[in-house]
Amino acid sequence: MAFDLPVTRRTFLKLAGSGAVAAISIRSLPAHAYGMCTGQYTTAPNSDSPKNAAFIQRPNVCPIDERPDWARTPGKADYRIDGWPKVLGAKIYARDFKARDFGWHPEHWLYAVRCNRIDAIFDGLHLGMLDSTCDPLVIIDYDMIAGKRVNTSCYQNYGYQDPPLLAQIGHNPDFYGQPAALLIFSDFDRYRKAKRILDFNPDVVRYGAAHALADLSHLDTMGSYVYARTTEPPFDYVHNGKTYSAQSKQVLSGIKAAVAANPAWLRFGTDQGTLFETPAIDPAFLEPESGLAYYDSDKQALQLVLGTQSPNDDATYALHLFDNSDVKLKTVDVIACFPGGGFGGRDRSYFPVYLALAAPFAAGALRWQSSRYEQFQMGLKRSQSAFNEALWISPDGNIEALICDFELNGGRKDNLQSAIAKLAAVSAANCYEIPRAYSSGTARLSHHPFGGSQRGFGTPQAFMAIETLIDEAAQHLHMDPIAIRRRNLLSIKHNRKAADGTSTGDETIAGAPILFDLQLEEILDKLEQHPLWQTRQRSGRKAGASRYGVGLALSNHAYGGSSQDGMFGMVEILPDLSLRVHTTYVDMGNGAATALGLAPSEYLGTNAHAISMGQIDVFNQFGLNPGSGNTSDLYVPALYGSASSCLSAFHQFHAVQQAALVLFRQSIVPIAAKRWKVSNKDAASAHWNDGRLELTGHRPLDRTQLFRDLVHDKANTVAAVHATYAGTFWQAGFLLGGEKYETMDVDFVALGNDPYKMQPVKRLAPPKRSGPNTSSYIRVTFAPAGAIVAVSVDVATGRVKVEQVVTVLSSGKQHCPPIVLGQSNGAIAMAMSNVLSETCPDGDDGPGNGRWNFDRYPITRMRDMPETTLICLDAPGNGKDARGIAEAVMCPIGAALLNAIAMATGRRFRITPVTPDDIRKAFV
Amino acid sequence: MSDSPAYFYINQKPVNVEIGDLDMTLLEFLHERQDLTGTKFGCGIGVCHACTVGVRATGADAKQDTKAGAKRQPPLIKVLACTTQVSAMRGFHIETVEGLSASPLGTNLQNAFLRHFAFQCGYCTPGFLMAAKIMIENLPPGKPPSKQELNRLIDVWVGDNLCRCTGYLQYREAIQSVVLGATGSSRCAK
Repeated sequence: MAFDLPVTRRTFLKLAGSGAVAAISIRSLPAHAYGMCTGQYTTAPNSDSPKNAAFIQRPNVCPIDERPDWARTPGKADYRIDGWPKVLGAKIYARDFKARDFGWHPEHWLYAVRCNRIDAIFDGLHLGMLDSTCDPLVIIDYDMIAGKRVNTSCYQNYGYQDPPLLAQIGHNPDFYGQPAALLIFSDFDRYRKAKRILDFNPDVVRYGAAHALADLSHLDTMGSYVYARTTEPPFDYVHNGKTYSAQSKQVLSGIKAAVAANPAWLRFGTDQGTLFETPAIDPAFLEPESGLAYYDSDKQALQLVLGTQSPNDDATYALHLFDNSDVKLKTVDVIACFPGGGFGGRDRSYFPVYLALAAPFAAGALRWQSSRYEQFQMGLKRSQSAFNEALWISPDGNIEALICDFELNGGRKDNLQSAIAKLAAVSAANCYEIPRAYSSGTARLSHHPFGGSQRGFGTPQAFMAIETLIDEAAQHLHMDPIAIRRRNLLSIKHNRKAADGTSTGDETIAGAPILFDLQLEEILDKLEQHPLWQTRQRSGRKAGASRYGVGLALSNHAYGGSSQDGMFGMVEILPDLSLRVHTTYVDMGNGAATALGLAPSEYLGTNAHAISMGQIDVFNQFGLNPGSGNTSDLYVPALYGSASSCLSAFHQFHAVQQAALVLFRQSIVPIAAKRWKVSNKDAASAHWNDGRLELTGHRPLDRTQLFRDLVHDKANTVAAVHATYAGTFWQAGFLLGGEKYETMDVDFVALGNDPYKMQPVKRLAPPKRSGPNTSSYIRVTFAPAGAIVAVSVDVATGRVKVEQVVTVLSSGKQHCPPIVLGQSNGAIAMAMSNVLSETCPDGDDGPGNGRWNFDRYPITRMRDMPETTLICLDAPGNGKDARGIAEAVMCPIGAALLNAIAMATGRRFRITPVTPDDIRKAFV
Repeated sequence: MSDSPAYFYINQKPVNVEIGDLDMTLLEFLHERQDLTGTKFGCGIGVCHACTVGVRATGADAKQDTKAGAKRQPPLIKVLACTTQVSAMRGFHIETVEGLSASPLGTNLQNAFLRHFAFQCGYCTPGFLMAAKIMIENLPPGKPPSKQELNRLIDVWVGDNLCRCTGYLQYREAIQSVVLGATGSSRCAK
């Protein structure tokens, strides 16, 4: 099912501008919704749903009108809602599916012939080694798609055109891994035979004379941002909007003058010729990107089966490819599978673009499976960074000034590098109040591997710099590393004057006031009290052939997509009385499906029995549009974004929970009021206890009976909401169950009995902010964390062993503590190898050469893992709100590890990875 | 399927192999000929171990293990399906994650992985399940190992399985719980 509706304002403008009459539909794999927790894998109703119900019947399924067996206690998970399919080996990943699973035939196979050099002219393709038993049906090359007027590049942005998707004869390949051609084979056997011949075959892609790489320096940067702030005189991005750009350079001069005028302030930072440097890093998710496509020329429709974090963008780019071309395309339907890992590497990846590009040239369905070599060669990377940073600190430990300039090597194609540079820059001051700060972030084009979002989104680099410099300062000043941090912490409790004269607490480097208790003092208290910190100076551990070190770091990761995030949620009571959640969000393994499955319990008395992830169709039907003006019924301030890992616990959870509240007020309350013979208003104050709805002085009502009555009475069984968060939730009022609710934390409500046939509920008034206008704040939500890392360093081999890690986290409410713990442990593992071993070098020796695999890219293994402890602080405020922690838990680890290595070796490392060679040299 | 004797067995089911398929990797055969996609492709070169399956000898090998009238199964061997040719598997019993529920040990492991929230994206999970089952089946009969000894064994038998999501600790605890009867994780402190 598809709808002719805009998806986002940007998408809408793009489509409108292109003149395309096109539609996008995104939906989850039916198995996700039908059977994830019910065992009914064979009941998928859609005609194009997987026929082969892989979908193994699991044992001991409870009747679904009872408690969901994954979470029998409301609000508590006994195991992940997506757990059973994963331990049964069921088909849930894009790589698992065949054309016949969707009723498509025949099944063709795609193979990409890729360039592994960029320093010579591409002279053409030689496929003479493929005999008639394995020759391709179709060869898609640059000339072929140009001849059919298909767009030869992905999209245009920031004043330059992305390079061609396919290499052009007579030109240098534009990037490592650029396909010289896409070959379509008629079946698996031909594909398999051809693959053996083509893989690593130096004769396939022919190169001519060496030729200098194209000069990219004349092209615009992908994005460049400056955050300058001084407290005297007051100046910052938030409060000096009109004059900010013109004055920020003067502010930098002022900061430089101030530090020159105060020679007592000690400078710590990079010097001439030295930089902080971090390498390009592969997300290294375990499932290489894979997918299935089917183009129906009669219907002018393209279906894509993908494991993706950004189905909406994938569909948009697919549509764009064929704008005004000979290939007619009206609808793109993305079927979202569970991604086998993500970490940002599937957010606007180019894999779906190439699959979509090839699909119309197959005579049936097209299946494509990247190898690990290709994944290393072409997959999105954390961008390489190199930057200067300096802190000036007074003799008594006050941070007086900060100057830094982040440079991200964005690679050859535009992705999210601009936003990453922005977040790196705005995170430069971390969790500290710094009276003079100037931070810039720039992402530049290069011939390096593709940059993209990756766990932390620029903040790990920012925190690595400031946290190692503060540690260095503490050592120099003979101060306790905790004490020096404590005296500079940001706090909501401080009373300061903002640049516009108003009173405020402390502010971020952008001048945005801190809106919530960051619990930074408590984090430091917990770290300070921990035995690992108390005993860090044990002299006995320094003896012998190893050195011992303990490091500490803080981080203040900004989660959420921007200063204003939109989100959808839907809950549905099915005729069998089970409860299902629908969400646009995708679970990359971060536990979002499980958390969102718990979200309805407060208002509906039960956890969800099933959840449909990546389900955009049911929400696109509303046609909401941030560009429609706030008096329009379709107006919402922000629609929704990609599934980054830190958006589920707070943002998405809220939307699903509010949908449950709407259904409670609309449908449950009137039935309960009738039974109890009380007013709807009184009944609305009832609460759930162990599956029964209770109101003081009245007989408790059984949930299943209430649901049964609700279905029998044909009351609304489905509720959907949209919400917008901008430091506070935008609010609107609605009439529900005959009662007026003037200020709900949602800006759109719809009700119905079929998720695809919902009726909007008219708002009592246009939605309005319930707090300050935060549109210039850059970010408003933070998940602070602190970590202690203990290492032993082998003097002879240079090997670093991480012995123990303690993390203290301001997690807010934990929806599912074991999942929070798992996120933390996984983040420790990832940060360890990010700092100690992982690197994707540029040039012919790097993964761009197509010969990199896990044998030369060491990531943390089981035996490398240290003892870990996670301490989650009690949630501040109302105690109900969670924080997005999946990225936050990684942010302090790298810096703390570097500080531990510094203690063990006596040497400060500013370039990662810190290899055994580097360590050995430190001891010479 | 021809009437010829089974080439090998997959999850107890006899399977014949066309001659043209003998040079396939076992992983390709499982995916494309048997539609058993639970065994995962991760690297294709035997490094990540996502494709771990269990393989057991049959026939004569089984008889050799008969002791004092009590028939013992031949040991379950760890095989990496992405680097093993189908032709090398002739006559063997192959166990994949899809067959795990058939044994009490397999079900115990599945339940333990669930209860310990051992996995996240889950793509590597079949490999961990199979590696753990193979390790446990190869433990000497009698008294279970000490926790320290078990950890060493886990490092040997499961330690090469790669996971990017979890940090492995909840995998380890889940396996420990099956062997030692321990209960869930409690290290998420207040």
